[in-house]
Amino acid sequence: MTQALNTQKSDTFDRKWSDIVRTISSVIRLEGVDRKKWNDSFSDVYALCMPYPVSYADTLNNYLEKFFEQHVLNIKYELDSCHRIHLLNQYSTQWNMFNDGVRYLNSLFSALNSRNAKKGMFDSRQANRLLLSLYGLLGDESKLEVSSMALKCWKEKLIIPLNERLTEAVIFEMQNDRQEVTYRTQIHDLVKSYIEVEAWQVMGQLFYYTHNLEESLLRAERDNYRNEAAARISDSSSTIGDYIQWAHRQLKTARDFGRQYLHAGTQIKLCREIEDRLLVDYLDRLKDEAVHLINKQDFEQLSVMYRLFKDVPEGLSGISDHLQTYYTEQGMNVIHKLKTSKNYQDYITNFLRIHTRYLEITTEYFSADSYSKEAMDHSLEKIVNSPEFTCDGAKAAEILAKQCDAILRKGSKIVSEAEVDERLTQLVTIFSYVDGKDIFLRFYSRNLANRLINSTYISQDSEENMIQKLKACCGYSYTNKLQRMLQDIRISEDLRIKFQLKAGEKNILKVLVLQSGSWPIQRRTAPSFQLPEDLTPLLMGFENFYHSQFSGRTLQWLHYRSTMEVSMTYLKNVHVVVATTYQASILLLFNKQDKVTLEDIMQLYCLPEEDVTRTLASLVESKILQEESQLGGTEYLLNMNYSNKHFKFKIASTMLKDTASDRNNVHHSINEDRKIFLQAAIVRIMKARKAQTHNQLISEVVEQSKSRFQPNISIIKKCIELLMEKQYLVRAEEDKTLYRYCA
Amino acid sequence: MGQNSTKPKKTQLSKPQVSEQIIETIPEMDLPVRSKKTSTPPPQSSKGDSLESFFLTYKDSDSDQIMAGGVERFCNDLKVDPTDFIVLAIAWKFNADQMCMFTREQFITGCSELNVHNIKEFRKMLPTLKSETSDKSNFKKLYYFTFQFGLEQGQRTLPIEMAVPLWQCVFLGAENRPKLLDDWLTFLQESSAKFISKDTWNMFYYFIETVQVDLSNYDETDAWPTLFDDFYEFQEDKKNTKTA
Repeated sequence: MTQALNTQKSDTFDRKWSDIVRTISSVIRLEGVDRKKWNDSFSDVYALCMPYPVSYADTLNNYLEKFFEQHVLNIKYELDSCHRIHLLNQYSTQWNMFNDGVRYLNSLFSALNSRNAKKGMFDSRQANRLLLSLYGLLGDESKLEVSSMALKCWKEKLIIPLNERLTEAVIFEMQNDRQEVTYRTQIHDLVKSYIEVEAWQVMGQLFYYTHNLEESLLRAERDNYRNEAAARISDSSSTIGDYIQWAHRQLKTARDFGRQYLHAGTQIKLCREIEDRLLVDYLDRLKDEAVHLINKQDFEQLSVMYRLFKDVPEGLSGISDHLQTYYTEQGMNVIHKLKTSKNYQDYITNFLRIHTRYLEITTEYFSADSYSKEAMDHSLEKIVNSPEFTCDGAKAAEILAKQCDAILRKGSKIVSEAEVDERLTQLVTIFSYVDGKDIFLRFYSRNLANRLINSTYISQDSEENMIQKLKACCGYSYTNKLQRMLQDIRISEDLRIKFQLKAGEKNILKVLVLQSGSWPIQRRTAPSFQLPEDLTPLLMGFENFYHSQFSGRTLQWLHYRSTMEVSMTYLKNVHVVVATTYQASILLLFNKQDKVTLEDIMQLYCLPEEDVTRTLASLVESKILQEESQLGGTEYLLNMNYSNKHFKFKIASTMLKDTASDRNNVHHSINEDRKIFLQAAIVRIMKARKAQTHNQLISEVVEQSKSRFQPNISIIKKCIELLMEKQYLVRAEEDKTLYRYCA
Repeated sequence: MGQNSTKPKKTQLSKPQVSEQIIETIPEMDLPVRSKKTSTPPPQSSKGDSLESFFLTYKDSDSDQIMAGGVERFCNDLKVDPTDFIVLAIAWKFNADQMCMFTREQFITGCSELNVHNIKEFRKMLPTLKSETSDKSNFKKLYYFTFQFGLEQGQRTLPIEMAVPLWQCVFLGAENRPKLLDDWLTFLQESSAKFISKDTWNMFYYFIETVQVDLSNYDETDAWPTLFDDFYEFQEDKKNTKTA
């Protein structure tokens, strides 16, 4: 019974199989198959796979496998006898045909595929298969999809035996003529076939390819390029420049070729290999050449080299180091020539010229990449902060602050707002390279205060504009006080209008209310100073008004910064003099008397002798007063013959101007400020971190202070010590490099 | 040099109560006990009694402490130089917080901890104390103590003129006098530094422990206080001028 069933079974199978074989033999050769034949075979496959009455699926599978084996072996024999020159071409044709045919067959055998899948012998769900394969559970029992079975067969029966010949053929082809590879597409097909035959694998699809074809290919290319590079570099008839050009071309070709015809991974590896052989192996010589090119200012050539080195580790940084040295030297030469110049603008103009030039080079030749930019920035920093960048005793920060003042103060020759903006932008560009940003701020805020108090600023908009620029460069906290100064002026204006309404037309007082702490002003008014009686009600009026507006605020008059206009009606031609409060106070005395003495003034106004002497001297110097030596001491009288070509004028004050000591004061107080800033930074950091090692702390402090100044390590250390003495910090007993914060 | 620099300390010690010193150097222990016992308030155990009298021997007449004069007499009776290391070690044991002064509590607790009740026992105990301090960890404690001990009340830093003799003194007790000590002290006297912070004092111990005599392994980027950086430069300069 079983025997009968078996024979009957095999009869059915054989009959159907012979039909199927005919169809698939045509399909695999891509010969036309008419629809009926195709449909019949499809049904046959379906019937054989049906579980009833008997399933022939396994047998079909085995037969099919044998069929593929035979077919592939036939192709292999064909290729075996093929000459090397034609091998690639032949292989490519055969592969394409086979690959396409297999795809058709896969759909023809879809019934078998789905049956195999149903049987659980193979699970199309990748995750499951992955897991199974990881656990080694995907044993021999598993059945592949028809297409995979075919591809596997191709790999085992054709690629593996022919691997050496195929590889050799590719290498030969690629090296034969690098520029014009004839069988580009064929190589591409070959590479594709190596990868696609493994595509059904869950993992390691590239394994066979990388360890066979790719590896050999790279090895061959490595040797080839090594030899060629050695030959070229030692060739005395060509220069290093030629070599660079050649290397550039090689890389470009390889990159293009690799991108189009090789696997993406191979392209990267190939390019890296070529870079190593052509560039890294000769890094030192090429860097020497770079130095040579830099000194020759041959940026065109250098640019080629620079781009070449883009992906080479240590390559660009080496070149950019040299570039930086060159930039610095060139710039320093320019600045050095200015040594005798006492004109700030010379320094500004020349630095801007250097900056523009370097920026051009960087963007044009090095496409402004980070290395070249860094080289430029570092060298510009070095130049602007060098001791040579000193004009008439003023360093960069001071020069810049003074120039800003020159632009923003009334009387500057620049009229158009656009030009003001442009000039300020230039100054801020330089400013961004300056180390001592706090020094700049010191000078700048003093100048700003003078402009605002004396109303000598060209416009509030320009002031605001400049502050915004500084803010963009250094952050909010840097410009905080400047901003508040400007704000005070605006508020004061509103206040003045309100006061004017209240006090009426006769009001002649113009008050600026300045927040203490924001303005760089020392309280220099003698505390005992008694205002002349005529003026007292005026100020009282304002004080009352102000207190009615804001309760709980104290006002302090800064008399030494105040001015008033005094009409000198006793002269032939009436003059108006803009005098400081002290000067005016003295002049007012002459309303009642003809002569005054130093002692009178001291007594009347409760002023220290020093102030009175200085004020009298300024009045005498400007010839408004005359001194007369008497027995009892010097007396001062009005100069009745005074004349001045201006109707309104200011008394030249001798109490100001002493730039050298002024500068020393600024630098001294800056050092103090820096120490305080550093201590604050240390405490902030330690408070947040609780414990920090020495080096971490130092580097964080440097980071935090960078936007203001370049702190000196030993000063930071001193500040740490100071804080330890003040018991903010303590050194850990177990680790001497660790500090702890003491709450 | 050590002798010279310690001199001011000596004169400081012998300031008050010269007359008393002459009278009281003769009696040693038992004689004055009874006469003075009446003045001490509560009667204590016999050991406590003898400690009390031991204390009273050196007590200042005006306060309930042993002051400079008393300390000097105490040293004389112990037959040690007041500038000797052992006196520092005693102060350490007594946990004294000021130079030339022991409070009642310090003296009595200190003595009872050392288990000595009179000058003879004390003298006998000194070698033990000496050997105790030659233990490394004890010496380190004593070294740290020395800074606090040398401070004037309310101060946080030690003036150089005080620090130098203290350094001299404390290392008399070290097994090996650090080779860098003399260079260090010379440097301090030539430098513009005026005060030594606690951190610098403590770090000096670590410095001589870890840094080689030729400073070859000194690293300026380490967490050394700046004074050590200056010292390093000073030494390097000296080396360079020598070779040049």
